[in-house]
Amino acid sequence: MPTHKISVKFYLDQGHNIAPETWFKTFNNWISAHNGADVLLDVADYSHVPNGPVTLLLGHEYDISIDDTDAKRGLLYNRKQPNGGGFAQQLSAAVRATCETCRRLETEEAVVFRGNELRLILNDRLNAPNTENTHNAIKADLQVLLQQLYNDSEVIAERRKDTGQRFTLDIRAEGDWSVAKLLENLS
Amino acid sequence: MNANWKEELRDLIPEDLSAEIDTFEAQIEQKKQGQIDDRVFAETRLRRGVYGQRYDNGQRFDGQVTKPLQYPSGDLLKGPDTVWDAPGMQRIKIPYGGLTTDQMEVLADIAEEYSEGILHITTRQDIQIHYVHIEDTPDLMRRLAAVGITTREACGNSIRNVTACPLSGVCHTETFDVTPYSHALAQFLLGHPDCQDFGRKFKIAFSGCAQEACGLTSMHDMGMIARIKDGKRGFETYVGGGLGAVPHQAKLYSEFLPPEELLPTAQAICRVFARLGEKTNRARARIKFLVAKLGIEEFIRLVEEERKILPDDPAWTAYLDDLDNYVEEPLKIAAPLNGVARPKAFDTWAETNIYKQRQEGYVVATICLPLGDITSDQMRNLADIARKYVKDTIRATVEQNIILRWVSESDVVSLYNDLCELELAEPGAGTIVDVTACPGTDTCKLGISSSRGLAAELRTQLAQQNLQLADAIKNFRIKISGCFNSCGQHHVADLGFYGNSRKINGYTVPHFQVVLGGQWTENAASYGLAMGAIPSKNIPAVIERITDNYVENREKDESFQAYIQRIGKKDVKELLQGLTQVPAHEIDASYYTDWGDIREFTIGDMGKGECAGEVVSLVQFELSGCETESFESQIHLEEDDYEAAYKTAFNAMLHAAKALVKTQFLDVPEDADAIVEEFRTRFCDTELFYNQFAGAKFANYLFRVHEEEVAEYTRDIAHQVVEEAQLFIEEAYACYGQMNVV
Repeated sequence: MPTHKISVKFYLDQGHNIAPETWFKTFNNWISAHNGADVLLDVADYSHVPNGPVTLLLGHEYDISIDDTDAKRGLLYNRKQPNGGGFAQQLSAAVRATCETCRRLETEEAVVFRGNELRLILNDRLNAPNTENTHNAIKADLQVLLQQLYNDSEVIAERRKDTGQRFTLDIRAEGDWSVAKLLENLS
Repeated sequence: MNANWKEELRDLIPEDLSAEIDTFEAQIEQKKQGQIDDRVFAETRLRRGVYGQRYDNGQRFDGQVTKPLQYPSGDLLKGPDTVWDAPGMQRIKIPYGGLTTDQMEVLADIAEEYSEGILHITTRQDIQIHYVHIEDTPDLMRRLAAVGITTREACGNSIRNVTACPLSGVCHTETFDVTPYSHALAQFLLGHPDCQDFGRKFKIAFSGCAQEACGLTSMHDMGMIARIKDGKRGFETYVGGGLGAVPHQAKLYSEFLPPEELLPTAQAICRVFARLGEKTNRARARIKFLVAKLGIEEFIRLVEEERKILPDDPAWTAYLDDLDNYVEEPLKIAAPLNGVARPKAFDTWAETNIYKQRQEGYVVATICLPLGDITSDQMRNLADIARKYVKDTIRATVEQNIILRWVSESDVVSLYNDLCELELAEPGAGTIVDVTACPGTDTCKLGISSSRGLAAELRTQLAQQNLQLADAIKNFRIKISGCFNSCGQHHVADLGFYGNSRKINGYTVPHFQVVLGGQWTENAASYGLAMGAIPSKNIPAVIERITDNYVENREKDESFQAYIQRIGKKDVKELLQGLTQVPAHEIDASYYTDWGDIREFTIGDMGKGECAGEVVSLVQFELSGCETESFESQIHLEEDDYEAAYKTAFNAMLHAAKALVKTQFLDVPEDADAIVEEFRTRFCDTELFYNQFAGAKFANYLFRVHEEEVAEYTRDIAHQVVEEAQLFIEEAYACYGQMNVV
């Protein structure tokens, strides 16, 4: 398995102007209300830094952030601890967790995420370097997942080629997809 | 099986550094198995720069109640009251702030993979990343070591990052470039045996001249200012300065310390500090208290006595031969900026962020970082930009910025455009907008009020007013600390603030103590005056009133420091009248939250800070290291590497013997023969190392192995020595206990 350190980002379609304080409040409320087995620790504000994390919900197993990388705001889920199973299971779990988090935000705040576009990052330069080999190694697992997510729609996955970057795929599916629909497809 | 960084980087890391990191990794394993005391492990990790962070006691206040955080590792601790799984801060030492582009890339990578993709420049030219899991730290350290960075002694009771003026070598007013001297001293003292038994940390700074601020030597434990005497280089040397809750101006140690005396004098000072410095009362353990207690004359006498008996060390002068090899070179030829179209806002940026070097045709460009933060992407791309315009002439500054030196003037517009692409072309470097702040309540356990929250707010407000601000205040320094410990260096700012709180109407309300008129120039020559605590939310109004009043009422060319001295505390109090008031909660609840945080304010989530480190005696610390070696020898044995197991076990015994010898003879030589001989004379012949039942049996383990010539390392031979080493170390602990020197 290349790595368990998988990050997934879905982009905002509506709600770009929500203030960082709102995200801070929302994430803080999530910590208060949390009763899962995983641990949510703290909220950090980095809204003063351009094109990076805006507001972070830090956890032990994963972090969640409103993220402005490449000046495209979205929700980034960053898995830090192993989640059980092989790469296919961990990849599926990461995408599902991201969709669930987006969906939760859609129900709590005036935001809508675009389901047809996502970024997949393998946050591990040692075990998953940004190479074609890594791409080939995950291709089969990814294909199965994307087929499940987007049925038979055409999907393009483009690898970012800059060598210094982590292995990153920008994935785009034909048609309009909501995160709710993606969750339904994953169930 | 997945790859690992240890194997991947094996050939890129110096052997000694690699061994140190392996040892730390083994200590982490030992701690998990309950084989190291909490305090010893805390100090061990602190000396690797692995620092605790807010909420690492496993509790968090959510605005209404404090709730436990149910970490998977349960009760396992990594220090007193510090939960194992709680993420922490990793401090990374950057001597004199000097960075290479390769280092910038690795820093960007590790922040992305082990942290949250943010690098924070500190007020002492370090870099910090936050929310790091302790089990990731050995690999993180290996990746840094592969590009020449060590985190060793970044925290704990040790020699911290040696800082230096970031303009050294290119400055108009400097006497000479202090960079190679600061580098030499940092390398010499790193891990030095005489710097392992301090009661608190020890900070060193270098400055190229007396009049500018850059070196801040007056507020350091030891500060050097470049001097020329009779055509020869040397240093005006100061000792015993420091900020903290009780700031002290450093005292003159020597008007002229020649370079060949720099290293041995520092060593002698460290010895005196280790021997006589306070170890029990942490609040009075910095060297400033020792200097104050002894008086500078007596302190100097003791250091000079110590200097006389120091065993000669070739390293003291070896670096002098390399001084001429230290040369910074530009990438591009010097050329003027002629006729290039200047983009809108370029001139505003250039006015504050460009410094013309002493060398004709070259400039220093300051990349102004909000709150000292830069994203991994920005850092990586900044490395690319640096490669385009300069060689590895990049430095982090104590004002939490990054500078590129040796930029050809002809490239300045192009550089500006490139920085704009990264949103790194913020103007206002070194002005009132360029607010400095420590991490405060964001991540520090000691933080009381939100220094970063306030700094962010002030940056925003002042940047909006920038064009309207009077020239007289434009270059003011604002510095903010989250508590009285002064990591934000509030004492040396024109407008300084440190966090505190007040109980009002049954609520705890965040406040800042206002400290006015500190002097940033002349190496932080004087400290500001505390004027009273003001609610956090009124601090922007404080700045407005004070600066307006200064602009209106100052006498001709009167400095802010002189103005504050002239009007005095009483007038300032009057000026701030009304701003101390806090409206009732039901009228304005915003006063009861802090800047940048929506939660109701509390001080209940503060913890015990780790900046004081843990007081662990040198012998205890070294014996713990021997236990780690013994542990490593067992692992070698399990891996059927008998030679390594044998040798590591012998080293564990040898080092335990050395630790004991050091209690009587600090200068015990490094070689095995000498250590064994000293141990035999001082501990075996005297029966100090003597078991009431087994007699000299355990001592004989060491003597036998030392003399033994092994033809073939077999499992049996290795196993025997591994077992003996464990017993020897246990006896060493017992011996130390009987010596009653704990």
